Amino acid sequence: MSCQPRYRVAAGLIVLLLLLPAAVGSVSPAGAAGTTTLTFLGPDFDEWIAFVKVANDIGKPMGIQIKPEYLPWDDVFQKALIDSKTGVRTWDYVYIYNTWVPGLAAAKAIQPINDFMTTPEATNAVQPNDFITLTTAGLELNGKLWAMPMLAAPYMLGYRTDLFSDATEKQAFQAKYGYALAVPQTYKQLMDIAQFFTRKKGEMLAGRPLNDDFYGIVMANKRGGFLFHRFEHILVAFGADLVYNPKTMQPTANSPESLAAVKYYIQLHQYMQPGTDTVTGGGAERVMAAGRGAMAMDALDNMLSVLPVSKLSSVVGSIRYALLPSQVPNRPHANVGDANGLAIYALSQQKDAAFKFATKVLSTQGTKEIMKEYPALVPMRASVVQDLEVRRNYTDVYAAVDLMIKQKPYTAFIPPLKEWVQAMDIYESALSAALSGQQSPEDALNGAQAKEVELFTRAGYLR
Amino acid sequence: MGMSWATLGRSRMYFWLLTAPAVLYIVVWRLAPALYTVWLSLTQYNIVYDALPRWNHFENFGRILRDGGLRGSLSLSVQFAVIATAAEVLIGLAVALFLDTDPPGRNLLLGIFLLPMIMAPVVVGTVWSTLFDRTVGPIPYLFQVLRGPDIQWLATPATAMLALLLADAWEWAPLVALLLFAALQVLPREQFEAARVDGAAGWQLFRRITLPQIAGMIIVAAGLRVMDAFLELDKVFIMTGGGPGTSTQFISMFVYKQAFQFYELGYASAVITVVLAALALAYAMYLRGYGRALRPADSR
Repeated sequence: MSCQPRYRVAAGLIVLLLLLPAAVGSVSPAGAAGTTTLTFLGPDFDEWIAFVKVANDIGKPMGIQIKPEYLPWDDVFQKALIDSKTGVRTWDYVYIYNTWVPGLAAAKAIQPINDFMTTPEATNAVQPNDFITLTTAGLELNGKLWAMPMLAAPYMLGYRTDLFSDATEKQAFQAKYGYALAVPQTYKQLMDIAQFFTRKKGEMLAGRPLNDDFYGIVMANKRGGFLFHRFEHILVAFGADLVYNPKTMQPTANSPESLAAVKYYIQLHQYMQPGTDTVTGGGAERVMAAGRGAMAMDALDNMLSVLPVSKLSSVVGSIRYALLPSQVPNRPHANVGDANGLAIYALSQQKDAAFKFATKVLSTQGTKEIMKEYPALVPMRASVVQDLEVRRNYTDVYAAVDLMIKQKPYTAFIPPLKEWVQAMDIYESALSAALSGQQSPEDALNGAQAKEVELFTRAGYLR
Repeated sequence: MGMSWATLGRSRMYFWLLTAPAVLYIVVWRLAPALYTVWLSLTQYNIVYDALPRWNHFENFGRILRDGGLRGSLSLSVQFAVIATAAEVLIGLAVALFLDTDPPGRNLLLGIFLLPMIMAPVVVGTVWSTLFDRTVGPIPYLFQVLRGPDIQWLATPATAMLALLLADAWEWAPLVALLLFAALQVLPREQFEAARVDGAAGWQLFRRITLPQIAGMIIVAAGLRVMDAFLELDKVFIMTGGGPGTSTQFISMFVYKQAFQFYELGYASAVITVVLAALALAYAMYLRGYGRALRPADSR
C-alpha cells in the first residue's frame, strides 16, 4: 500500500519529462502580422551587415524584413551544406564565395538564378547584361549563374604615391636600378621596388629618418588559404597552371613555371613585413595603414576597408591602386578572380519572394545604397561603376574597376574541382615549407607533385 | 544485509527509472556517435559530393597505412605530448613544493597561478599568438631591446613548436601543480620531523619521503596531460594553422582538415577509429603497468 504514492510520483515525473520538449517547442516568436521575413545565412563581414541594413530599409514599406544569422566565414559553407543535407528549410538566402559554388551546387543546396529568369520581367529585374563578367564569371558554373553578384574582390597592388613621387627616392632608385621609379609593370620591377624600399629603423625615407623598420611590400601569408590566395596570382602570372592542367587533369605542381614562381616568392618574402606568415588580410593591411609599407598586394576591398579610413590609417590620401604586374606576355596583369554573391537556398519556402527582393536590393540603386553603408564595396555592375555619383564619391573604386574594364587583365578562376581544397592545401603546405626553409623549393614541389598525383589517381582522374 | 536483483521486486522499476537518464545519455551522446564513426570509417563519404556513404572495402584503412602525412602528424603529436607533459610535471611539481612551504599569501598566489587553466583554449591561443607576433608582440620586442636574435617565432618550424609548448605549459602546469599540491598536503608531517631528527635534509627528504608518496599522483597527472596534449587542436589552429609547412600539423589538425576542410568523413572517421584504438591500448597497458602505484604501499 505504501508503494502507491511513490508509483504515482514516478509516473508524474515521466509525464512531465515527456511534455517538456513539446512545451518548449511550441514557444516560438511570432513575426509581426503582414511581414514577410526572409532569413539570411552569412558571415559577419561589414559588407553583409550593410546589405542587411539596406535590405531592411528597402523592405520596410514593402512589409519585408531580412533576419540574418551571422557565422564565421568558414562555417557558413558547412552550415549551408549540412542543413541542406538534413532537410532544414530555415534559410532563404545564403552567402556564396566563388570557390563554394561547385560544392553547394553539387549538393543541391542552392538554386541557380537562371531558374527564376523565366519571364522577361524577371530577366529585366536581374539585368544580367549589366554584370562585369570579369568579376562575375566565378559565380557561374555549367552555363548558369548561381548567385546574385554583390561584391567583387579583385587583387590589386596598393602603393604609396607620396614615396613613388618623392624626388630623392626617384633619384636614388634611378641611380641604383637604371630606370625610373614608377608603378611596377613587371614582377622584376616589383622585386626591385620592394628591395629598394625595405629599410631599417633610423635609415632615411623621403628625407626623414625612420622610427620603425619599413617594408617593401606587405602581404598576408598565414597558412590555411591566405598564403595560397596571395601566391596564386604570381603562379598564374608566371604561366603556371593552378595546381593542375584542366585539359589533361595532370597535376603540374613541380612544373618549371611553378618552380620559378615559388623561387620568386621566396625572394620577395625577404622584403615583406616580419610575421607575414601568421597574419590574415586584415592584419597585413593594419601594417600598411600604420605607414610601414611601400606596397601591398591584396584584395581591393580589403585595402579599401582600411587604408582610406582616417580612424584606422595614417596613410589616408597616399595610396593608389594598380593592376598586378605581368610576367609572361600572354597573361598581362594576371590575377585569379574572386566573387561574392547572394544565393537562393534550394529548400527555401519563399524562393520567389526571395528572388524578387534580391533583384531589388542588388539592383543599381540598391547597390549604390549599400556602398553608402560600406564604401569599400567593389560593385559587379557596370551601371554602378559608371554612375556619376559613384565616380565622384568613390574615386578609388571607380579608378580601380575602370582600369580593369579598360585593360582587361588576364583573369583565371579557381577550377570547379571537387578535390580543389585538398589540392590547394597540398600545394600551400609545400610552399609554406619552402618559405620557412624547411625544404628546398625543388624538394617541396616534388613532394607536392607526388601527393597531387596520388590525390588525382584516387579521385579517378588519372589511371 | 545486501539487496540482490531478485529481491528488489517492485523496486526494480525505480532502479530503471533512476538509471534511465544516465544510460540514455551514454547511449545517445557517447555510444551511438562512436558506433556511427566506426561505421563511417568503412565507407567512402564526402559529405559535399556523395549523396550517401558507400561501403569501400576497408580502403580507408589501407590508405592510412600509405599516408605519410598521417605518420608525420602522429609523430609530431607524440613528441608534443611527451615534451609538454614533462615540462608541465616539472613546473607543476616545483610550484607545488613552493606552495607547500606555506609562503605568505599562498592562497592568493595559488588563485593567480590557476587562472590560465580556466581560460578557454582558443583565448590562450590568441593571447600567445599576439605575444609572439613579430610586429606587435612583446616577446620579439623584448628580444630586440636585449639585442637578442630576430626570431620569427611562429614562422620557423623549431620555434613554432617551442611556442606551442610554452603556451601549453603556461595553460596546464597549474593543473599539475594543483593535483600535486593536494597530494603534498596530506603527507604526514611526523615522517619529515622524524627524518630530520635522524639527520636527513633537503634533497634526501624529497627523494626518500616526498617523492615516493606522491608518485601515484604524478603518474595520474602525467597520464591526464599526455592524453590531453596528444589531442591538442585549439592552440595549433589559432597560433600556427599547422604550419609552417606541416611542422605543427598534429593529429587533431590532420583529422580536422580531413573532416571539415576536405569533407572526407569516411577517411577522417577511419583515422579517428585507429587513433582511438591505439590510445585505448596504450592506456590499458599504462593502467596495468602502473596501476599498482596508485595503491597504498602496504596493500601491495
